[in-house]
Amino acid sequence: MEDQLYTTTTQCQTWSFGPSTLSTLRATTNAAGVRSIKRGWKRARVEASAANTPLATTPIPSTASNTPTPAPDPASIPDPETLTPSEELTLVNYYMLRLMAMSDIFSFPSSVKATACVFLSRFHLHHSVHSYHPKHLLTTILFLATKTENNYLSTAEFCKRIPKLTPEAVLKYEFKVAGGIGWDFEIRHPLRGADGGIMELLTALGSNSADPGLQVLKEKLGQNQSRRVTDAAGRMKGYLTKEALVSDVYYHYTPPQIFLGALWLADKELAEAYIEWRFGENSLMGRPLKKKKKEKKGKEKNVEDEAAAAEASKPPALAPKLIPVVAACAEMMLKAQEYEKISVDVLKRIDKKLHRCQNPQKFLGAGSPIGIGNDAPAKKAAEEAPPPEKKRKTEEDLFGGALR
Amino acid sequence: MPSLPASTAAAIARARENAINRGGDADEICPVCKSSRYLNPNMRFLVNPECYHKMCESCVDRLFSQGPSQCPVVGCDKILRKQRFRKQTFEDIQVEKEVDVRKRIAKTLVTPSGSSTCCEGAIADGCAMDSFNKRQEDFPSLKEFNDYLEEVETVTFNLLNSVDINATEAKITAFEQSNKSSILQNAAKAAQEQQFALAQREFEKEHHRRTRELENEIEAEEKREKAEHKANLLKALEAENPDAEVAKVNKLARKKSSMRREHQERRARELEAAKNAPAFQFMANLNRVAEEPPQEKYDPVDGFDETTRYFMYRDRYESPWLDDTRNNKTVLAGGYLLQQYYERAVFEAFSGVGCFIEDPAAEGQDAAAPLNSFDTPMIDTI
Repeated sequence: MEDQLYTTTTQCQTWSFGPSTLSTLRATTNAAGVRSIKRGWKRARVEASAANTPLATTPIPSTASNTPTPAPDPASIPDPETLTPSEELTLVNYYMLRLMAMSDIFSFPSSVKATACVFLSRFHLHHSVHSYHPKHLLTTILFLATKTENNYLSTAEFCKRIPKLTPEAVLKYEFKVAGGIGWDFEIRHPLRGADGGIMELLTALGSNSADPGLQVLKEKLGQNQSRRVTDAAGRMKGYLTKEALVSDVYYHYTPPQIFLGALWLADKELAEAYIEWRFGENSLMGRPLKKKKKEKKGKEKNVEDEAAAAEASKPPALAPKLIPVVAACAEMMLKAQEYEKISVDVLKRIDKKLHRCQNPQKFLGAGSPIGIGNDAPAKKAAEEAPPPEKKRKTEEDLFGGALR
Repeated sequence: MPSLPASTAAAIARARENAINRGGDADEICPVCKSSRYLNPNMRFLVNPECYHKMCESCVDRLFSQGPSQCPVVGCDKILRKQRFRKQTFEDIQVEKEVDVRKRIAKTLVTPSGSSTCCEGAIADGCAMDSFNKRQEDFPSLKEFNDYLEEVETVTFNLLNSVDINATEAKITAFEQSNKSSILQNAAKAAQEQQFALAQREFEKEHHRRTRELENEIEAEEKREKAEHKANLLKALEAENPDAEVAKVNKLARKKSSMRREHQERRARELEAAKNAPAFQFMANLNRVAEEPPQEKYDPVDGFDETTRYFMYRDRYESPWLDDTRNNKTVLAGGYLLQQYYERAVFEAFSGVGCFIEDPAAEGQDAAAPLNSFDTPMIDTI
């Protein structure tokens, strides 16, 4: 039943991918972003060559040189170098770390932080950074996450903590972001599940059940078991609130698997023993050991038979399949640590490239910025706005449109 | 006294003047012969729907007994006939006129049971056969129906205010021609519905009557029984062994009353059954389109149950980080149940542990392109 319930979630249905599917998706998104950049530059070039008639020799306001150099021929400037999918991912991950830092400023609970990160990641899965620079979306996403996670904060309060932030800026792209993540606000995090798992483990260790699996587990843990578990849980939580978010594990694994993966990183031996105990060959699946055989012999034979039948039809043990999955998950999280080590130079280079892509007007002397947050031309909005307005009016007019 | 008649005459003259000038008290004075209601209390005013000029009965008799003649009002050249004169229903002549126009339009344009305005509702009872009587079901959508209603109103307005009279008349005729069959159909439908409603009302009345009868009967019987019981009791007390006799009488009475109650209940049941059974069957079948497929049994939880495969809930878990909460009265007073947190956390610890996602082959190609379903498109700069 637990698995069945998980399969009904949007996280499982729309946001779970195999690795190859995910990379295809990223490549598609990147290609779309590159196309839009190419088109924007093409248009800018046309505008620039139109503006570069001998009469209008207005030099570009360049900060570098004060000498009025004649504007370069727009055709001679090559198209900018666009970002590759991996560069996009690097950038998104960098901003994810920034998002975490921002969340820490507010000292939001980890669920808010995690939700915000997943929102950012999911948004950029379908929307290239070429079109939506993450730096414009951070506050919006964080604010959306506070609302999603029942951690209400007014926009005014929210803006107070970050300099130069206005409520308008926070709310400006909210609709876009919400639509961009497909309105799937609920994220299944492994955080609470991890708490539950540890809770159960501690309880089991504290009891003196005769479960043979548990005895094995106790033996493996050696002395001071609960101390060891608590320590591992602390480290695990660290992995869950950082590496798990920056890596792609949310797309490839289910929350319990992620939590086990984090536990694996925190204490490999413990995780392995735990999985063996819970999902191994003779696991009791957390049920108390049956002692009926001696106590109630003839009385509940029926019940026993049923139990035996259930035993016989029991699906094969999960552990052999689960352990490699958890190990892979752990490895993926470990790899994510490299994102923190990416040098600022690399990031600067990427951002510079992106800046060049998005702002053809600075290099061609004409055209308009590409993507949101760069003050998209008002003209376009004005062009687009009236028709839907008119249409809506006829549809919603109290007395209907004009008679035909 | 000579002064009194003089002042009375002056008053009459003044009243007449006022009435004629203002037109407000026109009710009192005939605009044709200027005779006043004061002098002729039985005066009745009549109008002709041709021009709606008002005049008193005697004027009508006087002017039109010889046959059709011109309207006596200055500037009106309509030829009027005596038989078409009738009593004015509404005080305001404008309303009178509108009702007439609407009545006519309803015969052509408007649905009798559509009841879009009160006027139509009022006149609908009168018209057996109406022709501009489309219903909402005849149109593909509400908008078209509303357009139709608006057109009807426009025609009405034009007729009322003499705008484009000829064009409007032509329009009405054309509509009548083209929709003859559907007009007939709709009229028949309306008549049928009316008949059904009538039958239903009859039936309900009958049912009420029978229920009342039954109630009366019950009451009377109860009364009679009580009296009988009392008489029996008295008789029993006179006997030599009063105690035993009284007990016997009581027992008899109880038995009787229980029998009676049973009988009554059965009759009431029969009555109820009759109410739901025969005469209403045709009503039930009236508007039914087709047999509905038998509804599947509704499962509110969509096939989910509370069985858990990987774990079993316990009452209490070892959780050092919740120790504060467990004893924190401010938290617990608000209704926070630690038990619920336990259940949720433990459930989430295992919810989906057996799902293995990374099977690219199984995911298929459709997983790779869910972009179309997203509300925020990639920005397209051109």
